[in-house]
Amino acid sequence: MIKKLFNYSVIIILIFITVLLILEINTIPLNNIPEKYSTSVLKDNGSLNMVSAIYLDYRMYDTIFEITVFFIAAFGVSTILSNIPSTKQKSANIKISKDLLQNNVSVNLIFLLSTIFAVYIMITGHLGPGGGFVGGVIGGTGILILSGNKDLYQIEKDFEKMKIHNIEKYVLIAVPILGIMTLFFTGNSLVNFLPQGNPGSIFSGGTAIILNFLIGFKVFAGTWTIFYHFVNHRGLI
Amino acid sequence: MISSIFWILSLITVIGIIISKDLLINILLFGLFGTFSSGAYLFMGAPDVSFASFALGAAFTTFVFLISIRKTGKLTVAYLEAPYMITENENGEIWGFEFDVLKEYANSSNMDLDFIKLESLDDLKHHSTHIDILAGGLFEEMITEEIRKDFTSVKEIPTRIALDKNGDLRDLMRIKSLIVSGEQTLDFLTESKTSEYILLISKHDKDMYSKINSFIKKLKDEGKIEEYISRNLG
Repeated sequence: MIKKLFNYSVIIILIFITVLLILEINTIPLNNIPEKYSTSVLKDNGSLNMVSAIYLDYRMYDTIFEITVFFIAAFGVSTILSNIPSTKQKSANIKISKDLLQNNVSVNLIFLLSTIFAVYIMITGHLGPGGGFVGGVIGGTGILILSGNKDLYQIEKDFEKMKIHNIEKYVLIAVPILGIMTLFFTGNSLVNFLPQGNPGSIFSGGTAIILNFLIGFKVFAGTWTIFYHFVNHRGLI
Repeated sequence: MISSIFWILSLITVIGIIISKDLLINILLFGLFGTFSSGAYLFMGAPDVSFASFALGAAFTTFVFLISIRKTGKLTVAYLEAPYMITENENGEIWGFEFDVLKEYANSSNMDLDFIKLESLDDLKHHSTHIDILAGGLFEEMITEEIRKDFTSVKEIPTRIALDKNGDLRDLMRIKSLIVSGEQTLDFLTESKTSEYILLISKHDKDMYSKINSFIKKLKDEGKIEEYISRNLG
């Protein structure tokens, strides 16, 4: 009884803090940042979110390798685990949600909400906090929750039908290609070449929106790959 | 100021992780730690880092841990062949009253069951693998002192035991199967008395005894045990 109460109170605190986080995000003052930087970044890049401007424009070189590291991790997991025979189970329904989330409706609802939230965070990465990495992880977590009442193998089959794993590889190539393309437009590689737009509108910050979406997709597919192989081979490694 | 409160809270959760011995509570505390630290980052003026910390630390990692808990969640059950209680049919499937109880327990605590068949209780000495639960129509009079050193007993349901001609103790369900198959008639028994079926729980895991004890109590309160009895024992 006490343990159950404890679990529920943990969930309530989690929800409370999440709400607090979402409410507080809009009211953060940009203190501690010298005015020189914030104005010059805004003029250079056009992104309201300075962090996004830095990792998608000034430090694009680092970001490319960060994506590559993530790809290698997911690729390594899938390559090594594919050679190990998987758990012989008819269904890979993991039933984690049995106690936490009472029925199928709440699982589907949370999946839907998290997917919408993930896409929102990906496409507004240059306007507010978030961006591709976080959006991808949230999308992956949404699928993870969905597997609480849906068969994992079925989800993986749907993914194979949509050729998500192939698209993932093209995305990995697309990001450096986008960087090299800037050579033809501006004479320098890995810089912002699209029009900056009006700061604050969706189409501002040049390439930020495309890059955020690509990175988000990459991280989403990577988290799913790692998760699927871990569940598929659980208890065997 | 506010961020320091979050840091103190995350410190408390980490202490909780160290103190708590329950795996599930540990995972939830870990999620709480991710939430608190993301709150701290937020009030330090780094909402991007806070978001990443929340998505990874509080949500994703917690779920992956919750799933991998099943890997460690494995119960090894050694059983004696006991008709109607826990027995194998022609297709190699195990069924019976105790099997139903154990399966329900494993389902409720997210564990997988592993079964090892024993010919007699003396076989236990030859098994090197760790055995969590001993089952198979056991009753108190059957258990030797040697077994008692490693196992504690949990009472299931009342039964009757009786002596047969050879002086061996037999329980109600074994007698029933002998009569049904026509090998024996009722008159071979002497000295019948009441006893109770028990499960033997390994002393290695100190929590498991109280968990299974309260689980069986819960089954009795909910009336589920009647269902299992009528399904298997008749």
